[in-house]
Amino acid sequence: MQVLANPHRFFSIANRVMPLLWVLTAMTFLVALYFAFFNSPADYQQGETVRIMYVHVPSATLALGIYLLMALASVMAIVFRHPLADMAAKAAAPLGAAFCFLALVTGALWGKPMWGTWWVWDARLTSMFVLMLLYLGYMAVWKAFDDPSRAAVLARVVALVGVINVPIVKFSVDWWNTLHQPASIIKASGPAIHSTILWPLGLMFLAFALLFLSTHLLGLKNLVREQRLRAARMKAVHAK
Amino acid sequence: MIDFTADHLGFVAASYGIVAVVLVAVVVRAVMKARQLKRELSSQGLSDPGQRDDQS
Repeated sequence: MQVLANPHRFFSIANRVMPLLWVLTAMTFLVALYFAFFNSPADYQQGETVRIMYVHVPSATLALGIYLLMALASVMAIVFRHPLADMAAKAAAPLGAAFCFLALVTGALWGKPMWGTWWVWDARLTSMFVLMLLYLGYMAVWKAFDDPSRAAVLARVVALVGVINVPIVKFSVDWWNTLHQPASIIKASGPAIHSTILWPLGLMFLAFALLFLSTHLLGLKNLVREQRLRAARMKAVHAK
Repeated sequence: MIDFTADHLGFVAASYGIVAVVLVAVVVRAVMKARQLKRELSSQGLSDPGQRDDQS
């Protein structure tokens, strides 16, 4: 990770990797969408609405994973003082918020025909809503301070305190009696989903993850550019 | 294969539509921001970070 501490070296590596990542992302999306619409069956109970799962589950998984990444980056910023760690967390936050929003909306669109309601305040849905608020709070902290170093300190606290919510979201369906169904993919006895549905789901998750990676790298590069501009402006002010 | 005459297909279409709009918006926003920052850097006579390494 220390290799990437030099922004010039990070840019150099990112510039080489990103074109390949964008192509890979687009190709994976095409294959995943083909599988999702044309090469997977309707569910015997849910019918065609099962196809909502192919976008809902990757969105929800990434929303949780990105928050974990932000917490990890915050730890790296505190322990190793890695210059890109805070930026990595900051660049990830709007993407995590977008995936969290998509998980909530697609969940509601699945819930209406299947449960008969758009929303219930059960443990899974409520903790996911709290995750959305944490993302918004984290982004608000960065906006609230003119001095990025002061914002970074509070942002790390929000990321590290908020990460407590991640296992609550994950295990809420086991700890409480919820309308949301229990875990059916990551469980000790193996996935409870047939391979004809599991494959498109896996491909779509890969496509979502690659899109996150590409956009995150782009966001990170933008933050390095902003830092360079800020440094130049400060230098100009002090020179006067 | 999807059955285009099935019930609740509107919910499926709405889900994929919203996902497409949000994900495209996220990518476009980042690309536009990158262009704007590159313009600002060049207007101040600064090179894009990493350019030095690429040229060497």
